[in-house]
Amino acid sequence: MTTLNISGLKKSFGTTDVLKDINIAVGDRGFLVLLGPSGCGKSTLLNVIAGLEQVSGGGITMDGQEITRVESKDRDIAMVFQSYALYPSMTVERNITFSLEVRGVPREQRRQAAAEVAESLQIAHLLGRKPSQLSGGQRQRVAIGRALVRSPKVFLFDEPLSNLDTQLRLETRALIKRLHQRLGSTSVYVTHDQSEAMTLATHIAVMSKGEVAQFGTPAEIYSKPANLFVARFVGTPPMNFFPASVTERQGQLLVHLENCGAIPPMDLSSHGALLHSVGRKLTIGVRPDQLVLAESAEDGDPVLEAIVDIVEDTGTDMFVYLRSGNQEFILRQPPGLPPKSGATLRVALPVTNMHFFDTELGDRLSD
Amino acid sequence: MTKKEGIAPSGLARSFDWAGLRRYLPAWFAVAPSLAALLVFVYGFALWTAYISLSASKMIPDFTFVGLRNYQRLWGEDRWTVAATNLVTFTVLYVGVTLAVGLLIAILLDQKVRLETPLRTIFLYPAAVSLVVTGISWKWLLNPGTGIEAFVRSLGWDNFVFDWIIQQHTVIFAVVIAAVWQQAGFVAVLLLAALRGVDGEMVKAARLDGAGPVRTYWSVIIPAIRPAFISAFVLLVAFALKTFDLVVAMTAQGPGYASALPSTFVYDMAFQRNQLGIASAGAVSILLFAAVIVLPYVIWEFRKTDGH
Amino acid sequence: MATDTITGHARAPKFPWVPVLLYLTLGVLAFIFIMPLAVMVLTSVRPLEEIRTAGIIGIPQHVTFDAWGTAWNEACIASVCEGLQPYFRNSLAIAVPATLLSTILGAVNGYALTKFRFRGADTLMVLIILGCFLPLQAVLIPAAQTLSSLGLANSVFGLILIYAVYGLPFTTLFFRNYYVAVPDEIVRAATMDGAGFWRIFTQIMLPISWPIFMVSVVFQFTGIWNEFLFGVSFSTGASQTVTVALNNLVNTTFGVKQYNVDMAASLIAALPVLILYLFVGRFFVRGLTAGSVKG
Repeated sequence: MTTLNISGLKKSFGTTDVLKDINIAVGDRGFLVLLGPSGCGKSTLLNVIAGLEQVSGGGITMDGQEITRVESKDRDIAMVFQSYALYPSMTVERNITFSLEVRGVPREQRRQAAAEVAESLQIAHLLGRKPSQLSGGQRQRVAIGRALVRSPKVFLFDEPLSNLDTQLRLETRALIKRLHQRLGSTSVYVTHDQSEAMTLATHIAVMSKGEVAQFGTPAEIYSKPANLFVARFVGTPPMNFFPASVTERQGQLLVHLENCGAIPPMDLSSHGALLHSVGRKLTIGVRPDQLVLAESAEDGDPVLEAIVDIVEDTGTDMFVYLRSGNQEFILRQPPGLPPKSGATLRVALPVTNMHFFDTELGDRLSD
Repeated sequence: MTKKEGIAPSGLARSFDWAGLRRYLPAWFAVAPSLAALLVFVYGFALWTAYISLSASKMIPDFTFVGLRNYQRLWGEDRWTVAATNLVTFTVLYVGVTLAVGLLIAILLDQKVRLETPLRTIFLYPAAVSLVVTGISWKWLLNPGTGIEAFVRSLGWDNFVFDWIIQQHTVIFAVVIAAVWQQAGFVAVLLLAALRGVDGEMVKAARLDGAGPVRTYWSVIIPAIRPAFISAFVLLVAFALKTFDLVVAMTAQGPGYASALPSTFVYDMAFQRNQLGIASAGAVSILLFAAVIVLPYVIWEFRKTDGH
Repeated sequence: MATDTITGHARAPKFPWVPVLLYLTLGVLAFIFIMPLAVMVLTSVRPLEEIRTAGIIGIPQHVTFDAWGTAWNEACIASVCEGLQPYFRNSLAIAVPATLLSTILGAVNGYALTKFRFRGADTLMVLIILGCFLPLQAVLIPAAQTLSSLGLANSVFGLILIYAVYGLPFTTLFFRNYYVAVPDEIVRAATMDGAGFWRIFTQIMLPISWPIFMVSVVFQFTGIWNEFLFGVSFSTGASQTVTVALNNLVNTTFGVKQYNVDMAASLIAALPVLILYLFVGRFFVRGLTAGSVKG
């Protein structure tokens, strides 16, 4: 149905470059999530797509049509805002149909449209109320209704769940996912919450300092983070990082963990990519759920003796905070009898699940 | 209209942004009439006054340039020096006492008192009364022959004296009383709203730290309402500089010209004595005085919140 | 004592002050504040004879409203003996349009400069708001010369223009502070819904603006009704405003001082604003100090 292409996009306020050369494409039925910490430019990018901000360079096309200079109202794009942005003086019905009113749609048709949308969002009983009489979750449904009623080509979401409590957040997240499955409309969704990104997206653009740090499917982002920033930002609890260095001796590539006391170097001759990193600082990343206790480890994986600091039991998981020398890291375990604080565990680092990054450049070393 | 480019030159220096212009054009048109009016009536007129003050104008404008001669004559006039001294005395006392009384009332009303609403109305209503009516009513109350002095004497205290309004060196204090009465309630209501906005958890924390009521107000609550205090301060200074009608109605600048203010001086010079040049020099002096106090505040206030 | 505040019930007094001292101080202050009004009201209904013998402070022995009638339509101001009534009408004819004009323009300015932040908008805002602090003496002479060259000296229109223009900085400031608290996202949502500048203003912003509209109207009406400097400078004779006429009535009477008439006249001149405060004063205070909208 609708494809969205962003190429070479730049935006600056005064001398500050907020967006630097953004290139992203969303295909038909795509759900693009712009993920990043606050101040990374993701909301500005969304506003640019919406036509609420002017670009400083580059362009946007929708279905191949240039829309960079098209006014917001002529883009056929609808948006859901973080603060809901409902019109305080209007009833829910008028809030939903205001865009139709502006376009001169007759009253009877507007009523019908409002009724249909309200029905699908289960807010039909609220049509006569004012926004101030609604709960946060209800307000966000009205805001979604306001976007739905126009059947736009593209939906934009600006952190729509941030102001909701946990329960409502999950419900509304499911609602958005269901709507997207049913309508298939191309969507762009801004969030700083990586679990929202992972569950909703067909594609994620992780953003940092006005640039796209990585663009890919959720699975790619998770399993092959392109750089240290993405590796650190995606995943809870975050990936463990072990500073390391590589030396070459008699044709063998030896990797030393630097903070973990006296443990023998690993022979990683099979990882040819490391050859270029000899003499450079390296960071090895291992996700907490991929660390294993030594008894179930494979041969050849390095084993650390670590002291238990604290244990967080969430019911479904147990996160064990460990220290080995100067190295701190987290291990995920299935629920069970928690190890005592101060106890010593033997933890193995599985070589097959290691991510290698160049510490200075931050980039992933290709496997 | 030509002023537009003058104010936002950077907008045109960059590559011309038609979409941006189209979006902002209605906003520009909307503010243009007000802006034009204010540029003429405020900035234009102030400059015009400054220009007259440097000219030989008397009854009719005479644009012979005379440099600072009007200012020399102004500051040589005893009447102006009295007026300027009065203004300083009046401003300091009026602003100080009004803030103090206003804060006292606000703190008292903040103690969850009964009848808060009627009390607030009583304290606030003087702000609705014009300075002319304020002046008239306090003129009679402070007049020793008809007012409080006469009343107290009629009760038997034959030696009671309260005659500030007829003494040359105290008359300005009488004016301060009336002015404080008129504004204190308004300031109290502003400060009360600020007090109510103080974070309750902070007050609780102070109490848990062992601070008593006086200490809590002095060290925790009052510092927290500093912004409201500063706003009230600046408003009061602006009011003080504008004060004119109060003196006209209350003392007619008397006795003699002992309660003259720069504002009454300027008016007399301009419309009674046809000395436009000196009147303008006086007006510019007031304006400079106002600018010194108010300008830093306004720029600070509006720069800190605005801008990207 | 102290323990109840730890659990934090908002209703409990912040401090267990001695209530007697509290109410005594409030009572004395309230008495001082109410006294001038009380004296004026009481004196205005006493016969002149009684005032002359018993002084202006006192309880009326005979109540008469003659002084009110005299003040309204008989008292002499200069050589015209029609009371305050014609000047009262002048003031209404000036204050109402000038109040509405400056309020509406202030709303437009506040909206345009906070919600459409074009380059230079902040500078313009500062430029406009600086006008709040302008000592009016600084523009008196040019304003007089301009009005007379426009043929508006001594006219209702001249004063409407003057009051509307010099009210703009205040009304703009009020609406600016109010609209700054309205989320920009509302304007963005409306823009995406296809609404333009004026439609957003009239259909979305104005309907939520009544609290600040109230503030602006009360403030402007009070200021204009009570204004004296421009009134006395730009209106004479039959075109005087009521405040100017009152001053002339009270401060230039010849012969016997008619205290009761003066007081009645003062009250008549103060009445419209007092009534306004009595009815909408609460909204005025609330609007002045609150300012944000929940939407």
